[in-house]
Amino acid sequence: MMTTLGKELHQTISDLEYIRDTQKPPPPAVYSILDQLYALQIVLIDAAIQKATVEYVNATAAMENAAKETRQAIDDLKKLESAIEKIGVAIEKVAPLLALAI
Amino acid sequence: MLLKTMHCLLFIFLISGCGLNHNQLVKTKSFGTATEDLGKISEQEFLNIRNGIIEINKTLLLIDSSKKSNSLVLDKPTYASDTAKRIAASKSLKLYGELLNQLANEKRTDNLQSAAAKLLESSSTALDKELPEETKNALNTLIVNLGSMWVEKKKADAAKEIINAYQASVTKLADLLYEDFSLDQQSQGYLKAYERTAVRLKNASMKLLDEENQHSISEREHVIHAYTLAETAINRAKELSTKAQQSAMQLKTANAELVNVINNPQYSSDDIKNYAKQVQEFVNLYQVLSR
Repeated sequence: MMTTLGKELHQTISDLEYIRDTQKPPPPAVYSILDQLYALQIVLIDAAIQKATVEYVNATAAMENAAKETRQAIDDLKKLESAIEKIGVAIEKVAPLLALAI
Repeated sequence: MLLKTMHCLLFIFLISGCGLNHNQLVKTKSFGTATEDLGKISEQEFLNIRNGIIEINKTLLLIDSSKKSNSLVLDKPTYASDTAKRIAASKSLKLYGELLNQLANEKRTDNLQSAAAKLLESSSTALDKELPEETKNALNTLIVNLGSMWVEKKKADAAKEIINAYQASVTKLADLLYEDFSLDQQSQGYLKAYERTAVRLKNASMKLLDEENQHSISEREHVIHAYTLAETAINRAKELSTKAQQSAMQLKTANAELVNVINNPQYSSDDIKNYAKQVQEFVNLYQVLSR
């Protein structure tokens, strides 16, 4: 419905712009009719923008969810230094056993 | 024997899987940088569009006496709350790019070297004898290699988890950005609103310019300013639209490639390369068109 209206509006505007740009001087009413049609186009865009805003909110929430889901993995990476030290501690613990093997 | 044990450990690490390969690292870094840039530009541009519309509508009020206080909402249809939601989404895209960049960039060799040194020191104490210099060096190299592999494997696991988790929402955001930066006949997004508002101002200024001998020089000056403002905005919108749309479209295909590359190390295509190139062109153009 909105798409059909948008298409028809676009076509009417194109026709009127053609008259405005080719007839010098154009009929004075052309400017004001065009002004009203542009305003109508903006009303249609307004509705579409509101609708898309909901989708943006959902997409941002999905990004935040992804961030939450992967927070553990990210936190793990942030703790790499301590993890590396843990390897050291682990090998240190087995060092006496290794000493026997040497 | 100790060296043999360490070699065994190295072998176990090797067969348990390793980090991201060169191709995966390059693609992740390239995708991360481009996505960070795209998020940054989108964030700025949503604000620019809104400010541009306010400026255009103020000029329309100035030159068109038929417009009254109730006939124009200056920021329509890019209200503060709608713009804020878009900025938040762009920021999350930028942060995702930053995260991927960090994953692909961080090097921990220095930390590993110091950990290895400490480890050798404490091992010598535990063994209660000083290890020969040759053995120490070999052990040091092995520890750093083992540590690096372990770190890289952790990074690869994290990258897989992160990229797969973000896949769907990045694709959705790419579609939304594509629509908001489109000037196609049927599009109804932010850039279209900016362009239509400018076209409206152009029409109003044309009406006044075409009226012969009815305006003073000062009035005409306002009209010419309005006409120039409208024309500049229309051209800016056209220039931006092409690059922004291509970048958003490439974000979608590159995101799909990244998912493939991260899950299958052998996979390769030029989608991410093209995306990075496209975004770089967009960044360059954006610097020229900056308001």
